Amino acid sequence: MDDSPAMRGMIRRVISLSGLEVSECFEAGDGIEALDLVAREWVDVVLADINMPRMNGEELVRRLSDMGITTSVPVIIISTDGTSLRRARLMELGAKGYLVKPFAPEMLRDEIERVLGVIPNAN
Amino acid sequence: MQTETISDALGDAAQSVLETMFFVVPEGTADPACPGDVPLLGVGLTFSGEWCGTFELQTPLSSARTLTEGFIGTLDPAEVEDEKTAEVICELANMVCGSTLTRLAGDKVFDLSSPHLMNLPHRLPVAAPKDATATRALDLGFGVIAFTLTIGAAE
Repeated sequence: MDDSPAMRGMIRRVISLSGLEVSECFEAGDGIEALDLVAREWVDVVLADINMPRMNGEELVRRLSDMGITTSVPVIIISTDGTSLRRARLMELGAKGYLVKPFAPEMLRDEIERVLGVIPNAN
Repeated sequence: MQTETISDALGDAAQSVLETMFFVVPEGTADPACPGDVPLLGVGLTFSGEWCGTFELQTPLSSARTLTEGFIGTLDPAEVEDEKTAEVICELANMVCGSTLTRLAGDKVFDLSSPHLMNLPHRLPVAAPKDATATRALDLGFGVIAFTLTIGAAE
């Protein structure tokens, strides 16, 4: 979930090249679209930016947490905001991972594997 | 805050973003004055929180297209449409601004607005007396990119 189509495309490309087994990758431009998607589709992990129109990433994590979804579907925040206060606030709300932009492609793969408990090269 | 401090943070943040996500290694600093005879792309955004202010980016359109090729991972200029270029340079502005603010004040929280395209030619922002502002321009090897951060009074 990111309001930047360019960043969504970049993340989609990194995931497709990561070697992770992905059957489908959904996109949302803000928190409202993401909530709608999570209600309709089964997802294993949510990747979310913070600063977005309509509903930001912080509110999304709060809503998902209130719905009990973050206990089974990990949320990774991907943001330019690397401040300690923001990171602590998001993790307290229920995010399981936090990746600061800019990031190297392998950092995203590593963070997804970490929150999903995937053992690298298990196949 | 000292102009030098902002300028150094801008330079470090821009270099990191360009190298990590655009696969471009800047060749050094440059004169921020943009040449008057080439089409430019400009992006601006605002931030709020413990500090509020503005961030602007300007680069020749041809440089913006080359940067976009690196970001989306293509060697085919035909894939780099104007709309895609604008999206990518907006994201570049977002990343450099957020990264700069994190370097300047890692213990504060900021909210960034969505980046928007600016009408150019555009004069660099004039800071109010109490504002702190700095501009850092980098030579990309295929053009110059200039970043300006202005920090105003607390909200």
